Amino acid sequence: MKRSFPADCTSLFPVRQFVRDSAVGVDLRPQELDDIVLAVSDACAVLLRHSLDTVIVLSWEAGREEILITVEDRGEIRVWAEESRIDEEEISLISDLVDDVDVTTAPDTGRTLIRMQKHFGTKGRP
Amino acid sequence: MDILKVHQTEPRSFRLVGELDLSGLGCLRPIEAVASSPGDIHLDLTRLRFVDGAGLDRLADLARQLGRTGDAGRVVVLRPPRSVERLLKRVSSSENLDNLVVVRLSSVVDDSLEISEPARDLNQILVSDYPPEAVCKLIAELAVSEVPGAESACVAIRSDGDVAFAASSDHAAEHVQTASIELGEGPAIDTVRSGQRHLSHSLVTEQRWPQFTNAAMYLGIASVLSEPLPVRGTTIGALTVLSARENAFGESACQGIARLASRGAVVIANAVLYWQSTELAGQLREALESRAVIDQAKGILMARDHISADEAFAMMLKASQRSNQKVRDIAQRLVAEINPIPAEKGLS
Repeated sequence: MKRSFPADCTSLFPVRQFVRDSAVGVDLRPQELDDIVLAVSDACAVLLRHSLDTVIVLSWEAGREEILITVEDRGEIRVWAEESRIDEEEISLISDLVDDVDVTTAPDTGRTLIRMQKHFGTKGRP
Repeated sequence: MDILKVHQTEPRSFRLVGELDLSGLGCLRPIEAVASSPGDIHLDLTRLRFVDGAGLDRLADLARQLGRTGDAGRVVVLRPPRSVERLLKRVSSSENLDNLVVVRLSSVVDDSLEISEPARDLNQILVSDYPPEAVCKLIAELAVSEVPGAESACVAIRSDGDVAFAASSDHAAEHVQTASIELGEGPAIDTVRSGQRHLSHSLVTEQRWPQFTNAAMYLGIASVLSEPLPVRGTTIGALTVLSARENAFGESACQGIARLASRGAVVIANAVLYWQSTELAGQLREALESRAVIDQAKGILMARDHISADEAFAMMLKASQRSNQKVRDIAQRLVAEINPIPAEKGLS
């Protein structure tokens, strides 16, 4: 599932609704769902702080025991500077909430993609 | 539309309702204003469903700000949901914020508000201290200690013609109650609808609620007793006690739960009325204050730029949309500009 949202902080609530709706039918524990909702909302917030694009795109892919979520802008950035890269500090909370988080930025356009993976079921539980 | 509402219930007490994220940080300004002076700040988060990293940082900032006042003031966070509590504890320990204190319901009842053991009698509870959900939880906890045989308990209330989960003494009771509501059957639902007590000595042989029985037995429940919560001849909800043992509830349990339910129902009803009226009063006060400051700001713009009242309002609206601030906040800044106290920044 893929959906675009206006690149505005008022989109964060609809983003969370999208995640909650997408998670219906996925065998997640309440805390796992809370973690995913927060991680995605925060990833969008991080992107919003760095991007001047008008749109962010969210994709959700649920497998049997893992969920893959990506948040990206389209790289249509008017101003781009090296110092506006997303640093580790900004994604430390997200890192605690999901099993894997990866941020890539295209050096030419500044197109940024945050990719998050969360295991659940027998794969993610002790 | 604001997804976060901040209600000032006392000069240094606030109730946050909704979801706190990057878009709602502006709503915290009244709290930040109070944090510049020494003393504890109480934040009731009972009805805060979500907080993001930016919101957490801002709450931590409040604690830092209070720390700088040199008075060892604390940010006391009351009754946060578990997901929010977990994050607050994380930020509190990782940043050594000793003055960011999280207080859960049970400790609120026992310690923080210094309610002594006899005051656990419902007659001593001030409904202004507890939102309805907290009162319901307190009654569920009292049921476990007062009703012979009860191992856990929950409260369901009538809401818009339906039955809704209100609170429970523990997770097991919460699961049983929410399963019952989702399935649309069970002793609590029948009790609310009929106003009559429902008792099942053994779910093994229970025939009345087959789906509920399966769900409850799966969760380890063997007997159930549900009592109506009566107020002036109507039933506002049901108090239900649960046990893993069959035949757990005898005559003394029925008498005990009936006494507690009749006392508890009145306290719940009073709490609902109180919190609804304070919320309404707060909204009215806020609306009146907003209107006054916006009118003042409109007057300033009209005089300064020789424009009409509508044009002045449109100008503030535009600035509000551009800066993601409320029109009221924009207006306040404008009004502050003409005050002798230097303002940070003008309307641009």
